[in-house]
Amino acid sequence: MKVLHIARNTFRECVRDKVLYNLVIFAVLIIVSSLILGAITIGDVKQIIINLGLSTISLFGTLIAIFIGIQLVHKEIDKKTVYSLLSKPVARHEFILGKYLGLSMTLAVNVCVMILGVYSAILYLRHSFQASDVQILLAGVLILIELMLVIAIALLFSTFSTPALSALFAFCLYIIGHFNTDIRQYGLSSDSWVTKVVAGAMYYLLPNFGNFDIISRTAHGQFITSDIYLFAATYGLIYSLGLLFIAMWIFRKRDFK
Amino acid sequence: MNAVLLALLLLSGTGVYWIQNAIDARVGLFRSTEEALYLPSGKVIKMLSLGHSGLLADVYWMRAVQYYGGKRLKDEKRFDLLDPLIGIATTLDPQLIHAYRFGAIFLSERSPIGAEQPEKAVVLLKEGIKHNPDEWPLYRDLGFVYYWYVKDYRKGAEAFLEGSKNPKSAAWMKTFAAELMAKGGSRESARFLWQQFYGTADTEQMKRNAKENLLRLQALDEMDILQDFISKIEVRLGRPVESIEELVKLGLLKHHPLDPKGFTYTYNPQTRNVQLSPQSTVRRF
Repeated sequence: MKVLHIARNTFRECVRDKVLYNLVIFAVLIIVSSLILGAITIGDVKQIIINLGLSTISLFGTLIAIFIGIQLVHKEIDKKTVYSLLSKPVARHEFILGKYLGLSMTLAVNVCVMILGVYSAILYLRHSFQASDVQILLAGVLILIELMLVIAIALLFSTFSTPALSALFAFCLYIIGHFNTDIRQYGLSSDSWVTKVVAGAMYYLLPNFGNFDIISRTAHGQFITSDIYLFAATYGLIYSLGLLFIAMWIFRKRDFK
Repeated sequence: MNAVLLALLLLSGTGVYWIQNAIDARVGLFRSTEEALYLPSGKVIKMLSLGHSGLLADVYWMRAVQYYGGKRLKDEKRFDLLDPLIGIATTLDPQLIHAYRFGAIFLSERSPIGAEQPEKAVVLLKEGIKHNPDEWPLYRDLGFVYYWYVKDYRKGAEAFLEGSKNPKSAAWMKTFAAELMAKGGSRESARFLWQQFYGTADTEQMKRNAKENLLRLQALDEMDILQDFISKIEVRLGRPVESIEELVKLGLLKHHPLDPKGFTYTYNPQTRNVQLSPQSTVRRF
C-alpha cells in the first residue's frame, strides 16, 4: 500500500515536471510523417510509420527512463525530503520500489498514448487494419518492459552515484547491452579460453537489449511467435527485479548522516 | 521592449536564413547524402543503430530515392552514390523488398534515366533473393534485368523458371521462360513481359514505366509498317520518297501518321528510315 502511495506521488511528480510533453513532439512527428512520407519515398509508407513510431517510442522512453530515473533518489536526498519520508514507517525497499513503479507508470501512459498515435496514423493512411497490426501493440508492451529495465539500471546507479555519473553509466550499459551478441560471438570465435570465459560471463551478466529488438519484424508484418514475446518479457522483468534487489540492498546500507 | 525583441528576432531569423544559404552554396545542398560515401559499410551502421536498424534503413532508402530523383530533375548522368545508398538500406533491413525492386530499376535503366549499371542490379536482386527466397517478384525482376538490360536470355529464362517454382508466383513466368529460351529478345516477348508488368504493377511508378515501354513498342511496330509502306511506294513510283508529307499530298496517306504520344513520324531520305520526331516524348530505348 505504501509502495503504491509513493508510486502515485512519483507519477504526479513526473506529470508536474512536464515529462508527458514529449507526447506533443511525438504527435507532430507522426502527423507530419503521415502527410509527407508518401511524397518523398517509394514503397510501403505504413511500414515506415511503424518503424518510425516504435523507434521513437523506444528512444523517447529511454531518454525519459535515464534522465528521470537517475533523479528519482538523488532529488529526494538533495532536497532532504528523504529524511522526513524515511522517518515515517516506510521501509527503504518500499521507497525504491515505489519510485520504480511510479516512473514505470509514467512510461506506461506514454507508451499507450504513442501506440494509439501509431494506430491512428495507420488508420489515416490505410482506412483499415490488418490482423498482423495487433503485433504493434505487443511490440509496445515489449518496449515498455525494455524501458522498465532501463529505469532499473538508472535507479540502481542513482542509489550510490551522482546524477551525472549515473546517466553516463546507464547510457554506457544501454549501449553495451546492444552489443551483447557481438561480445558473445567474439568470445566463441576466440582461441583463448580466458577470453571465452570472460565474454561468456559478460554475455549473461550484462543486460541483453537485443532480446527486445522486434521493431523491424513488426514493421514488415512478419509473424512473431508468442514464445519470443513471452521469453523477452520474462527476461526483462526478471533482470529488472534483480537490479531492483541490488538497488534496495545498496539503499538499505546507505548512511544518510 | 517587445518591439525591440521582435525586431531582434526577425533580424536573427533573416541572418540564419542568409548564412544557411551561403553555407549551402559553398558546400552543396545534398552534402548529407554525399557523406554516405565516407561511411564504412551498412554492417557497421547496423551495429551502431542500437536496435533501430529498420528506421535507419527507411531513412537511407528515402535518401536513395531523393538522390535519384534529384539527379533526374537536374538531368545529371552520374549516379555514383545510388548503389552505396541502396546497399546500406538493404544491409540495415534485408527484408526491405521495395529497395531491391526499385533499386534494381534505378540502377539498370539506361542513362540519363538511370545509372546504367545492370550488373549491380543483378547483384542487388540476388542479395534480395538470398534473404527473401519466398519473394517470387524478386526472381521476376532478376529475369527481367537479365532479359531487358543485360540481354542474357538464358540467365533471364533461368531466373523466371526458378521463380515459377514458388506456388504463389504468376502463372505466365514458366511459359515465358520457355519462350525466352526459344525466341530470345523478340519484340513479342518484350510486349508480353511489359503487359504482365503493367497488369501486376504494385505502384503507380511501376505501372507508368511499363506503359511507357509498351508505347515505345507500339511506336516501333508503327514505324515498321510505315517503313514497309514507303518501300513499296518507292518501287511503284520508281524514285525515292522525300518525306511523309509527299505521301499525304499524293493522296497515298489520309493524314500525317502520329506516334502514340501524338507527335508526327519523320522520314529521313538519306538513311531511308522512318524515325520518331525529335520533339517526341516516346522512349527511344
